[in-house]
Amino acid sequence: MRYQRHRGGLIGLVVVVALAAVAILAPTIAPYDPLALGDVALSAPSRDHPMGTDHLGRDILSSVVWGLRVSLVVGVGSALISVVVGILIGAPAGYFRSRLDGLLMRATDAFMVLPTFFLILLVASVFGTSIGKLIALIGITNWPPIARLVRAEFLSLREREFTLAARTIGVGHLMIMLRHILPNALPVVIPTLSLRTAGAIITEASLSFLGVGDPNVVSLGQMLMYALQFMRMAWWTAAFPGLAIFVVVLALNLVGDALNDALNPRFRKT
Amino acid sequence: MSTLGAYVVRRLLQSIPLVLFVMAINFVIIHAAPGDPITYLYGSSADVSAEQMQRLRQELGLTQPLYVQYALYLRQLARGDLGFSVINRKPVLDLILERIPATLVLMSAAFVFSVLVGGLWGVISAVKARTQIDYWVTIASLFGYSMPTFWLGLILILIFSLQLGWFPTMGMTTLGRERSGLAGLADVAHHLVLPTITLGMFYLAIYARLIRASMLEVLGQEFITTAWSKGLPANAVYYKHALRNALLPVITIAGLQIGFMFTGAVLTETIFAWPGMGGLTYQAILQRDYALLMGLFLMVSVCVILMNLATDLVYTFVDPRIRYTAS
Repeated sequence: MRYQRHRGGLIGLVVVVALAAVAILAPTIAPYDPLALGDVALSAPSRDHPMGTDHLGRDILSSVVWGLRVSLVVGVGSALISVVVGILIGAPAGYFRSRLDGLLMRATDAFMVLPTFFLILLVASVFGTSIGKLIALIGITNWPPIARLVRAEFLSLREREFTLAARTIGVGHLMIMLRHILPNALPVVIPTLSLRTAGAIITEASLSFLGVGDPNVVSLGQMLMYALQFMRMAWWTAAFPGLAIFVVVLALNLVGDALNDALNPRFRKT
Repeated sequence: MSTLGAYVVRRLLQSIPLVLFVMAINFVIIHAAPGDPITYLYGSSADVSAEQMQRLRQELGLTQPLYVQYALYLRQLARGDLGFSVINRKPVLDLILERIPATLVLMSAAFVFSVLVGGLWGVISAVKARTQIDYWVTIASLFGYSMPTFWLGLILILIFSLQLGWFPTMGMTTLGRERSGLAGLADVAHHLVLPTITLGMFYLAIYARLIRASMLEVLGQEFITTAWSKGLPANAVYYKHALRNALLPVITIAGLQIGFMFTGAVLTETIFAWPGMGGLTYQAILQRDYALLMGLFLMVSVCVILMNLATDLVYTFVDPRIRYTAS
């Protein structure tokens, strides 16, 4: 498989798997309870606290481990929602074309120009936030590019012989879309899952950084929000949580790019 | 010219449903929010007297059917009334308008920075394709692409302000030492450096990747081979022939991105206490000033729609192949 020839993608994959393992095993890996107040506030990285402690004496390494868990849950969850909605909108638009296509694509274009981040900010501040709400909000505001991609793929696949063959033997529209076209469209969809997860992780961190994240869980963005006040005295409060976001996003982007390269020869960069 | 005029008018008309759509979203949020919109928009009764609340209720027509309320809401917006911020004791529109210039300064600086530096990276990368330089530029742009804006800002402050003391950590001017004329301008420029890099880095990476891909595509075309065989110097081929054509697809993306730059501006302005719309947004979140947040969402949406419109128009000027008469 072409994926193996892509060194960056391989490194990215290893990092993603490792970070996912850390996130899943957070309860056993984290040396301290991320919410437990410690004795020494803002202590520099040491053997006891490899990443130091924050303004309430909480262990930053433990918070980063737990925060990574939240980031990945929100990222993967909302990426899945975006992809599913994108398919639900893009598939019928590309398959049936005609007026339905025009209508759905109009809607997609309208959503595409919406400043979604502001919309999320607004809805999150008015209605309050929880992890579930964040996943839903980020998920349902980021489907338009995926819908366009899926539509384009369905538009071309519906003209292929296997679709025609299925139609001639009397397979129904829904079955053709699900069993025949969708599996062939997946190579285009799968890389976006990885890239969208990366994007959603940044969005969640940005929201938490601005104070509209879920206040009841440890999140990397929220840690940076506090770091903004305390980093003059303690650089580690800003450095490590941000580094964690950066590494996970970088790895997911590497994987997404590599998957695009491997699965979509047409899109391959020269 | 008349066809162009018609095109502009048609595109403007096409934008109207979009604006109405955004307004409808705002309207739905106001009414879906728990509780009475008045208490929601204007705070608890402690801030506003019962009498005032009653008057506001009547003004908004809250006793009437929803579609009448939406019409009233539209009429209110059409008069330039975006609501009133009780917390700031000012109309929302005034609050936003006084913050727009600082945001424009920051966004323009970041835009120019990202296009120039990103463009340069992209061109170098394409011209030196598959060399060490290309490899490192590609890695650098991947890093820039994956870097969370706000973390980059914090790191820049840590290194260049707190450690090295080269740049100020916050604000647009030196407080208490406001200067006018050239000195004042230099002061603003000094404050602008770190926020510009923070906001521009992501876009710089995008443009570098885009221009690289687009340049490579153009460089493979026949007219470039012709240019080479005419014996043109390399610079003429790269810049006069290739880059001009490679820039076309970039314009579309740039137009879309300018709109989304507002998101980055909120984060950047929050970090650097930049006195623009982003800082205002952060303030509105902290103070739970919903009227202001809605006004901001509306204004940013309108800006994005206008930017897209402007991009389309610029495109027709730069690319004569596009006819603005066809459907």
